[in-house]
Amino acid sequence: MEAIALGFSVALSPSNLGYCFLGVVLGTFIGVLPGIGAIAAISMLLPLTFYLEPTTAVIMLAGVYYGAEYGGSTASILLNLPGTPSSAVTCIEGYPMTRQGRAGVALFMTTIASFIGGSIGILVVMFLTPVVVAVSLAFGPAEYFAIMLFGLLAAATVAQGSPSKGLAMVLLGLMLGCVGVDLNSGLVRFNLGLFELYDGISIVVLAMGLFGVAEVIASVRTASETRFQGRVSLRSMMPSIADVRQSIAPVLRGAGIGTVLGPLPGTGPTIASFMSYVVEKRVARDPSRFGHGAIEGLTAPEASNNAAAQTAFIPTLALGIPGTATTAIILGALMIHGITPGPALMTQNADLFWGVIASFWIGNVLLLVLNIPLIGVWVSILRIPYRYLYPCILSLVCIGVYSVNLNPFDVFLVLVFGVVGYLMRLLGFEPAPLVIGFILGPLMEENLRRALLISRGDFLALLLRPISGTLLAVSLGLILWTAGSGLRRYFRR
Amino acid sequence: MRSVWRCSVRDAIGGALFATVGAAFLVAAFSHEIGSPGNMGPGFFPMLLGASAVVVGLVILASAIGQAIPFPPIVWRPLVAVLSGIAAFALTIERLGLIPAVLLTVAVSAFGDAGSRFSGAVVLGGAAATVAWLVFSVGLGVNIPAFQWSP
Repeated sequence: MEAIALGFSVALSPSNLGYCFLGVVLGTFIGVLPGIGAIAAISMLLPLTFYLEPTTAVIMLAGVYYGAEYGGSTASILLNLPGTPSSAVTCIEGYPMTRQGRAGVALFMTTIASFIGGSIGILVVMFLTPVVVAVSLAFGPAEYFAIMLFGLLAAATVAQGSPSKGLAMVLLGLMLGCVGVDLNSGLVRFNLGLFELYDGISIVVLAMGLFGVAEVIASVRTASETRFQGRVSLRSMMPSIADVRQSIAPVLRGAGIGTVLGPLPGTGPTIASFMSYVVEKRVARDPSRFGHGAIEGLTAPEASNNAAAQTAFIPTLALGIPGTATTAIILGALMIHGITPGPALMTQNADLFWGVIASFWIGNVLLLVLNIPLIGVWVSILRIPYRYLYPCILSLVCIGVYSVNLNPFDVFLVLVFGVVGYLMRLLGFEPAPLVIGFILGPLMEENLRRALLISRGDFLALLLRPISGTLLAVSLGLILWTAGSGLRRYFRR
Repeated sequence: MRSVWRCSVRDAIGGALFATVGAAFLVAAFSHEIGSPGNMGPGFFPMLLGASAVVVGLVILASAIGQAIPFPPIVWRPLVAVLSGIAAFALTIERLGLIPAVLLTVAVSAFGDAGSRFSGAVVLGGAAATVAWLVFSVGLGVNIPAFQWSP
């Protein structure tokens, strides 16, 4: 296929290669830090990508994304403290292995499993995305509105936490997305009289406040209490034959689960890893080993979350619909560069699309090659007490945000969102659906307006079109199902 | 029978707060032209959002009755320290330049952890400021002066 050859020629250019490397290293570094996950990592490095070409920017951000996913599992295994939400499952088997002195093996097998899962995910992306694009050529504004609505509802209800709170977060994100100039009428909305908000709220500020600052506030107490004491040598990382044989099937199963769940809106690496763990436990010949260092319970979720992280790009690149907060931010980054993902992307910006795919491969290989020798570096980072790390993280956030517009107002806004983010955590609201709603808000409004304009205000026409009708019906079904199960749970008490 | 007097304070506050935000948004939406479905004005979509938000907020509030989920503890010290640190940066970056700003941010926010001591915080601040200057100003060419004096 000449397309993938084009992609590799783009991805292997020295600057793209360099930025992919940089992204993977920085992503792993930030992912290793407890409390700071992939989303915070991407939003912190987002301002840096503004100086880059769009293709390079996406390559770097994608590298940060799966670098952070990998780095998060290091903290989980060594400290029982997940560096990213999707690594929470890794704690269950990884930490007992550390206590048994098998930390090296756990880290090594995690790397391999992540690589295999990621590779399978990339293959699926390569073959499935053109298919999805072909299907979406029949999409009009009504269909886009319907699929965005479905995606948002799925993100709100399927992920963890109470569905009504998830819905609230989606709505809040949509509302925040309305701040600024309305492209249709040219009027400024909801800017509270502040001219700094004329262009709306910057995704950088929102993400850094909600994820970076709020997570740091929440982590200061908990992270300070744990520190890794042991040593991990290269030799200790060699797994036994039994370990490898026990992991082959789980890794493949995990990768399968990840590739299925990744593209679905509302699910992502976190749910994929949980599901994979549950499946392994159910399929295992001796389930009692789980919780005490069963290697299948470690490698399968890792393969799963890397596969899901890769395949999450299918709807993002093919349709412009992000399924997770992380892909939403990457989508936001693309839009800032003036690129609108969607069917047009493959035809007009084929070099960007295939370049990104090729860099997925390169990044995946880099992760494998880098992280085995660099394990020692990551481990020594985790030895640093958190009280030294988090002020530096905060200053990084401040500088990053300030450097976008050189306006202190943005820094104050991060402060506001930090408070909001922490408040949300206290009240039990998940921040991820908010980001998806924020990115999709203006797009949804635009598509709804166009759809209703075409149908002359007839909302029923949207239901009668086959694709949008099905999606809207499924959305309604989703609402009714979650409402029903919620009520059932409530009255059973 | 489930006691009606038990109430999950956390969800009650969350629901009430969200419903209020939704109501405020709804009111603000009406200050723009709403238009008709076939010709949506700038206020139409916000109106839908605000109305939905009020409904969802009330649902959350209603779900709070009858449960007794405790309110999680608020970590005041890290909260105040982190927020002060960020405020310190915002206030000093233009008045004093990059190095003093980072120094202050690190030093102030370090007090979020009870084990931090003043000397350690200042040293860390100095180190962080130097690294930040090297990475951002020298390495990336971001246009922030290291030192400045414009009070």
